Amino acid sequence: MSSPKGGAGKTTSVAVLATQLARTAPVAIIDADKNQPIVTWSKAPGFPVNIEVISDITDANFYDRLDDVARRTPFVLVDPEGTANVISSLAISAADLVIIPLQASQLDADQAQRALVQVTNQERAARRRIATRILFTRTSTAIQTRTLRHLKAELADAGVATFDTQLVEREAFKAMFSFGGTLELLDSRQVSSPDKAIANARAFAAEVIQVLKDIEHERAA
Amino acid sequence: MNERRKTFGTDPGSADDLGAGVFQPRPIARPDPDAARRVAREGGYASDAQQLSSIAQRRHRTGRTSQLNIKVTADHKARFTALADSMNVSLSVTFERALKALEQSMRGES
Repeated sequence: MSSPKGGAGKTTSVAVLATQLARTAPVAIIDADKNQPIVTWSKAPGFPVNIEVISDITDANFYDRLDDVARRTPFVLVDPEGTANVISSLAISAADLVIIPLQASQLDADQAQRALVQVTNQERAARRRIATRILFTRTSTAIQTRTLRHLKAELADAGVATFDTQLVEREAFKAMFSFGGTLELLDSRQVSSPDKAIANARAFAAEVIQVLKDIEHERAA
Repeated sequence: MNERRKTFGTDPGSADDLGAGVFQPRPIARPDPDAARRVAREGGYASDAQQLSSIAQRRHRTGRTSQLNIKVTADHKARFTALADSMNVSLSVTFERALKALEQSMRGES
């Protein structure tokens, strides 16, 4: 999950994706943010037993820790700090899929562009293609803003792939971090419409899985 | 009011199964670290707060009282600290060993 900007939705997207994948497969999350938001969430009740959280990451030990966990876990998600930091770039360099969360604002778009440039340059250095998708986050259920429409058109023109699913601004996504655990453990006394958040999370996870299957297919071909 | 939903143990092949179970663990496509770091640096992905905090914990009471501040590249610094970490010794000890090795090699010893 990559964006040099804080508040783009990296940690939320990581948590949403990890909990959906973990329903049927082991998952690891590398929490490379010094505020350790995933570590904090993992200590609250209801955290899935088949999600392993890895912290104490430095840019000197990053590849070793990543490789170590990837050898025993099918899904490894990296949640870097929301700055232009070394680990964030190294994570891109070793990724099967880079997901760039983007709120529909020009400020976020400029930072997403920086991440896209990092992907291109890491691809060149590693001499391999690194699949990349933009994920629109914190969008409105009701309306599509002009900025969102403009950014979508611009990304399409530039040939940058985006997920069809957008992570909608929902209280339930925040509530995961307040109450701990997964979306599935929230009920309507705690937060409104957990069902809609779950449907949104599953649609996103299903799209990620499809992209990863396509990558595996290309690799095998 | 909603019932708590089942979180785990989704039946494979059921409508709820997203198909995540088909993936297997495998080693990463490990890039050349120097090249990857160079890309990071050139793109302004240079903040190294994580690394600084790991250096800050590297305190030892050794009687070494003289400081040597030198300018190095981020790559050399990373390699140097990685070397120290791999031997599990301080930066000072790593420096002393490197110095000794260099002196030996200049005298033609192996």
